[in-house]
Amino acid sequence: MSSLAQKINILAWMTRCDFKLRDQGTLLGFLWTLLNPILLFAVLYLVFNAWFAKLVDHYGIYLILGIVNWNFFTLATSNTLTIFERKRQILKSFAVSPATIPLAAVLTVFASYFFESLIALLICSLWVSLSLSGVAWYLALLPLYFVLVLGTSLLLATTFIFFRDVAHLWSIALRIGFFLTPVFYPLDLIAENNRFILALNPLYHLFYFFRQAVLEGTVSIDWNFFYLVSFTVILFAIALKLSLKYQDKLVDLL
Amino acid sequence: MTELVTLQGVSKHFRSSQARPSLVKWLTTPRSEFQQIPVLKDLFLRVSAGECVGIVGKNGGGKSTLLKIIAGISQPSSGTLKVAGEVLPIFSWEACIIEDLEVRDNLCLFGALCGLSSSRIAGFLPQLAKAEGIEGRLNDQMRTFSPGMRARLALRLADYSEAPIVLLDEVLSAGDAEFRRTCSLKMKEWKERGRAVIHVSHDMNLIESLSDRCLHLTEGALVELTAPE
Repeated sequence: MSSLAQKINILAWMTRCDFKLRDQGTLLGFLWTLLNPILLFAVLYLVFNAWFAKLVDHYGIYLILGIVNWNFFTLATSNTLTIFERKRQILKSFAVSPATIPLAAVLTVFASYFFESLIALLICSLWVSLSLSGVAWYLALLPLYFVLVLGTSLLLATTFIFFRDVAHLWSIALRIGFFLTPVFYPLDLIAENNRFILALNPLYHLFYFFRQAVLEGTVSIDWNFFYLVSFTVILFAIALKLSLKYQDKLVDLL
Repeated sequence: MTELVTLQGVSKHFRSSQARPSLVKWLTTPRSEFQQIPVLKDLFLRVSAGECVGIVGKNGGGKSTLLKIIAGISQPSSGTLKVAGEVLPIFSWEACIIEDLEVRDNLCLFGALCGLSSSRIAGFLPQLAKAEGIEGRLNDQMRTFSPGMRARLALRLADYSEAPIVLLDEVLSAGDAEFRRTCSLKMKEWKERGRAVIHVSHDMNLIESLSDRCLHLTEGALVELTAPE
């Protein structure tokens, strides 16, 4: 087997095994993982719908897309942060390319997220009729989001090898990030002169494009889109470079 | 004989503060406090196809580090390492087992980590299960298997790999007398098939009985002991 085929084979089995462990390999297990976003949606919808529905059309769609997409970011990055530590025995026993391990961890969460997105689109179709182009745009954004999350996760996992308090800092960052990303509140609530702070956050743009795809059936290819793509590519390149630079030291540090 | 493993002047050292510090501690600790601790010093070793080399030494003497370097898991701090072909490391596999996962998935994951393709794994899995008498248990969770049984499965799986270099780290201490006998036979068989076998152990008698050459790793240096007849 060639080296690349071997790496793909290891990646495939790691992802499959992690997915089975996460969802207990059953439909019931998968439905169980859906419970968290569904409950969060139900609570936020009940609390904020009467107020926010006046500011945004189809608040249910706005909210469900925000929650499903935020949930992927949180789960994937948190799951990958400590992945080298959790897989240390494999890293110390086999000559595995270290990047394979976070990649498998993100893929595992992405697989669930993909099905969650399909269910979210199905729920959205209860409020509006989805256009084919809208669904196509939505699905086309998923690989971009995957790369953004993979870059963030790789960066976190590599940094965590050196400093254990990265986990603590990241949990704080996620709490702040939840409010700096329009997951549940409409943008009209933010004063216009303060919106530039939110605009620095790539998730701000990405969530806007996901909602635009569903509600308008298209995505605006503008400067914001260019910023999002550039941010994703640069972040991923930095994370990959850092990970490759320290991969030789990884096993010694674990 | 073809040389499969060549180490030339290989050294390895670790930093004294190998445990991960917190960001605050790292920022406030002077760099001078991080000392280099030598583990392996200027090692030279050649292992040919069909040769079995045993390495003994004290705990913490660098035996496992040496095997990890040969396996490509850890990198040497200096010196060069040449390996001709794939390396199969058999190190503490029991620690890598995923208890909550089915036996089948564990075997497939281990097979992939050993460099076996999915089709090859699927092909030999029924044979392996039959040989170990676990045909009806492939869907059981791994936690239901005893440590001895796990070690036997790992050894059986290793047998399907075609890597020309096999490294064993204290594998023989894992099982009972029957397992040790099977393992010894397997090592002889691998050697006869032209594989290079390098194994480490604390047990000098075991090393002597199985190896063509015995090496003692002491204070980071390799000393050639008597070559058994």
